[in-house]
Amino acid sequence: MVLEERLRGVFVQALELEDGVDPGVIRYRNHPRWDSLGHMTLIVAMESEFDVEIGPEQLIEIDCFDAAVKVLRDVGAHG
Amino acid sequence: MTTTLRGGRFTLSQPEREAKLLPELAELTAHHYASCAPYARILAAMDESPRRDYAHCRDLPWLPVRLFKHHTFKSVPDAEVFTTVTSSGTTGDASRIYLDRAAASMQQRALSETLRTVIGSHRLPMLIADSSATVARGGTHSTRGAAILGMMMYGKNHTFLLDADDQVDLPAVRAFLAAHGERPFLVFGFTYLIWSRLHPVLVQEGLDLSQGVLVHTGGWKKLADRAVSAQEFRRGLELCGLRRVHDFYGMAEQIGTVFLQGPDTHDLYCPDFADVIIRDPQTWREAPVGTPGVIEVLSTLPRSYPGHVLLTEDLGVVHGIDDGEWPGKRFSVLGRLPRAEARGCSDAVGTP
Repeated sequence: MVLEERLRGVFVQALELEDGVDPGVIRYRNHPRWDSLGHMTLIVAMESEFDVEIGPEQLIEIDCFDAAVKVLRDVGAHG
Repeated sequence: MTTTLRGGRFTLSQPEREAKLLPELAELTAHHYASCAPYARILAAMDESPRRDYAHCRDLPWLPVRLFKHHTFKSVPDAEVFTTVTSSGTTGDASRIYLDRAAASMQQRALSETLRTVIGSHRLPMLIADSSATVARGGTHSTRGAAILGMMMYGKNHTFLLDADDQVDLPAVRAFLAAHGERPFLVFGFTYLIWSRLHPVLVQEGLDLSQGVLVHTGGWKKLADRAVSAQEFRRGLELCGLRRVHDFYGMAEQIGTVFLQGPDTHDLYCPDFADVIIRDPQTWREAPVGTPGVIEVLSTLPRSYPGHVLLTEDLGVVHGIDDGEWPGKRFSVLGRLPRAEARGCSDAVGTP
């Protein structure tokens, strides 16, 4: 759960989500802040927070919070 | 679908490619005929209907790319349209390309596979020969902005050559090279900006870009107007240490498909899910190797809109088949058809 909690914070900060917006329900390009530019900001923030490298193909997989969790686990991030 | 996802490399000989693409493209023709009424009407007007017995890819009916400016071609219900890519011209109406979620993801993966051939499987530090304003929020509707954002996915530590006022940001470039210049990094930009903005800085400042891999696009028209040839472009950059240079040819109407310059020559090659056919503009028959004609581009990617077989408004020539650095056809783009409407930099990578 720790990884999820930290990732929640990364989502809120990187995508500048307003209070009350649940990172768990937004999807890539379905939320005004999560556009292509927001996506790059999010990826960079995830890499820095978890000290991992996300490849181009994994980066494409991340289209919702759960997908981000899965990619983080795949690349060996720890909570 | 999975065969397409694996197909972004440059491995298929022409007979293998023809054998793989023909049934997939024929199936796409039938799919779009059934799913997109305007496409079916245009095929009917050309006295074409999907057949099961195409002998060659060149027998498949094509759609002139300019029709995308005036028709809504969509093979998915409105509710499933996930994103729209616009190809903006300088004068004419824009083409609108409709992607559902699957198509958006597929085009990005295909592009990723294709580019991996030249930039590897890691995201590299990336120097962008453009202005940060081009991708600023709200600026992403431009084709150039969309192309840059699409490419940014393959980079990290993104650094822009130009600041928001369009001035060269030399300190930023120096800092980028100090931090990342010793290991492979990616340089991306539109061809004319590479030449008009990046190249002079390299010459004046003597910057070392020998570890850089340059990927550029956008066509040669603006440089041809300044009498700069592809050879001169490449030579000029080589003198600055930039030896790994890859031009690519692609268009919004076939988003995700890019034809990429091989490692050593100026020729463009087709990824495994795509092909080109050069047609004689008088007879529309396939032109022989070495004879210029109109470029038709074929790709198995477009499933949400009928862009799988397109007749472009570009002139090109095939230089050889299965005799180059990579298998398949090797070709060059020679420019616009004389009577084609000016479209500006309509090449687009786009974003998912």
